[in-house]
Amino acid sequence: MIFTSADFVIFFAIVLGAMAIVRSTRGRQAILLVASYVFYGWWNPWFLFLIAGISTWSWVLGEALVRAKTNAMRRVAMWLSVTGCLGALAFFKYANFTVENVNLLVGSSVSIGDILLPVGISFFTFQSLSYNIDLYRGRIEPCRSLWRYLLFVSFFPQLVAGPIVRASEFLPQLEREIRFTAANFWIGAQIFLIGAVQKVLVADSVSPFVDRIYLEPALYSAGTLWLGLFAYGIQIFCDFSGYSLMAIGIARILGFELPENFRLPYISRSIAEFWRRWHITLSFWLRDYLYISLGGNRGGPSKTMRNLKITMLLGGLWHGASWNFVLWGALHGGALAVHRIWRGWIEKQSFPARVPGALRHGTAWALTLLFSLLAWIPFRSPSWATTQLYLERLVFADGGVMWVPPQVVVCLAAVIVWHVVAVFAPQGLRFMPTTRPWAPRPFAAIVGILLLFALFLPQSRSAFIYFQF
Amino acid sequence: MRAVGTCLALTLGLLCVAEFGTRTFIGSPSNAVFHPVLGSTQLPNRMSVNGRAGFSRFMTNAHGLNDEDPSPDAAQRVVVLGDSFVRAIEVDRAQNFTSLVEQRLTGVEVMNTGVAGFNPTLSAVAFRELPESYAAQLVVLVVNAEDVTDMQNDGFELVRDPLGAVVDITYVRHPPGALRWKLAPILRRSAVVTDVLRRFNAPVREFVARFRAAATFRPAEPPVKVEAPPRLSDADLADATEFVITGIGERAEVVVLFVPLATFHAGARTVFDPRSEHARAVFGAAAQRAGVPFLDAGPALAQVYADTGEPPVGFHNVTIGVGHLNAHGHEAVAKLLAHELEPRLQRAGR
Repeated sequence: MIFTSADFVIFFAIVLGAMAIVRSTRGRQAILLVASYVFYGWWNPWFLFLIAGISTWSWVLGEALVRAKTNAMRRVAMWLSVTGCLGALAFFKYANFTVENVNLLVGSSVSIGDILLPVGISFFTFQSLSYNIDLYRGRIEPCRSLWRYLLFVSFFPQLVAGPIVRASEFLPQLEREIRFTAANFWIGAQIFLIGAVQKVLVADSVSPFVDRIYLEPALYSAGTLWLGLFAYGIQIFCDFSGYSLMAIGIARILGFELPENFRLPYISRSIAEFWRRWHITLSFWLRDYLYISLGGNRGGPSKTMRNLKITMLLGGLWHGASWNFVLWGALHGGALAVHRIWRGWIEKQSFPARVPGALRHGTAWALTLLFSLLAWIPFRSPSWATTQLYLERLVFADGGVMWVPPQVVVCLAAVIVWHVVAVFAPQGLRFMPTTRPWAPRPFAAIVGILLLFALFLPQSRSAFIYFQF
Repeated sequence: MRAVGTCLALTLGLLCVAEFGTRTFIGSPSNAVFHPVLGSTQLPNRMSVNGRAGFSRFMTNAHGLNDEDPSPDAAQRVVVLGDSFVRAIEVDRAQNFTSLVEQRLTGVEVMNTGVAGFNPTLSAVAFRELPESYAAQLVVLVVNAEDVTDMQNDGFELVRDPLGAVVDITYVRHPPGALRWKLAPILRRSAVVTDVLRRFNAPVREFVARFRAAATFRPAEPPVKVEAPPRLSDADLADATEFVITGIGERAEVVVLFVPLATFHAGARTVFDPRSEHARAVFGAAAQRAGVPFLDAGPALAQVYADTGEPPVGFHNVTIGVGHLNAHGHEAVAKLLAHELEPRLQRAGR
């Protein structure tokens, strides 16, 4: 059930109706819990046992951790929880991949059958993990109610594709009254609308072009492949950012606040900054629970580099069981390491002060953008051969079909204008979301967006990219 | 009150901008006119814009066709019958294959009478209804793979004599009271409404079906789709086409031109759609039995792709390599057709 489907419209109308009728916070939490399980079960009801099992396992071990009398017992409870969550993730997501690679290595032909990947498993296992690790580190109070904890893990707006919400951000919201107000409704609806513009009008409009380009890169000219490179950059950004905004908007309508997940990543001037702006909830999760657990930057430069690379490799693998994702993670890990070395060296030099700031920042931005776009090639390619071919033809393509779809150019131009305004005149975008949508500027923007939907809604809507992760 | 007025003014202003933008870049208001047998025809003498696939601005003639009116001074005339492949609103009129054949054959008027959605049986009806000014020495019936599906869905019935030969075709008569025709006065005035209804027709139907299914706790579609057997056999389709060709042949010499569906790949490789092979067999058999030439544009389209590296179908604003003929495709088809028609027209008295 994706947010732009008819099923979701009906489902959400029923949830809103029930929330409006039931006034008590406990009643509303019960409605949200049932709704979240219906939402998840809509895809495959058998996996309700999985999400309920992981949540309960994590909560019970959290209780054991809190009640443990010794540090050793606390550690055991924490590790049991981590092993359980990661074990489930490893089995559903990586078992086939592991067996395939072992078969390749030793020449065997062992098969464990096709294991169906449960939607959103990467997201809800990470949320459960963060709860137990934060409890172990003493950063949060335990959640004493299993039902509330089940709702925290399964809250439907962010269940299948994030943002990854931490217990410290969400559980306190369950302790207070659920505010179901007109202001929340207007704000949430506008955030949802902005997300829908990104997902449906931009990402879904460029998706058919990108799909065809990656299906057969050898057919197209270098110019078309460069356009495809930029097109996929905006597709994956608008797809994911748009879906995150829709989740944030829906949660807001229901009276909850979810963390920001994207902050214009393509304006970054370094790869480190890129990761502070791209999929923020994942990158901060990886930083806090993996990078720091590995030792962070405490063991000197070489260990810092190692930790960065391991974190990004595993971050790449988190996206899917494929060597392409590992390569993408390795590229980003390598880039972060290079950036760290560069930053250490350049800070000791005097010449940067003599270079005009605009040139310095412009070069840094262009290099970061180029790297992040090129790194999407292995991420999007169905195989290593396609990655190689795409990269080769970007540079050496001779001939091929020139295809420049105007709708892709318009989407690209719109995203560029949006970024330029957001950087140089941010006040120009601050009129939305607002609690007074009938004021002239937001009203015109909303009517304009609805007209754009009416006239440019793509005939085919592609599934949300991050569902597969 | 002032806020309401401002909101109304803003909405109206934005609607006007949308109407202007749609008419200029996307498409014109509906031109459709109800026809009991053909389903619909097009309004005469209307300027239209097509920006949905390719881009063109064109004025329909006095019979709603994408061509000039027939000239009384033409020494010879060729009428080309077919569907959207012939109507060719994706390219400028001067670039479509009927115009290009006309340029190649001096003194011959080539009339484009293609209408989107037509199949050979409907084209035959439309041909019968054309006025005397369209009288031609030669008729080119253009067929493609979609025509097989269209004929299956069209609902016409074959009337056979006791020996099994087709003696007539009975057509389905469309009801004039359909919602589409009730909304026609609005659709003819607003490009935005036309475009929105066209785009939202299928999603709204799907939404309603899913809503009904959800309300009654039933799945919207059966879990396993059972493929219904085709309404007409290949022999029926060939018989119907042969009957159509024979009927047209009573008024003019006929040539059947087959335009296959194909996809175009790296390494100058052209892959013909399996449906095209089927259609080629059906229409080829019909042409052979009717004793008329059957021209297959497939090799010409594959050759132009191999020679130029430019796929002969598809457009920048949809997909290159899939869909209707583009300027390269029209050029290839025109060359093939002109080569076939020239000696026939010479024999017919040039």
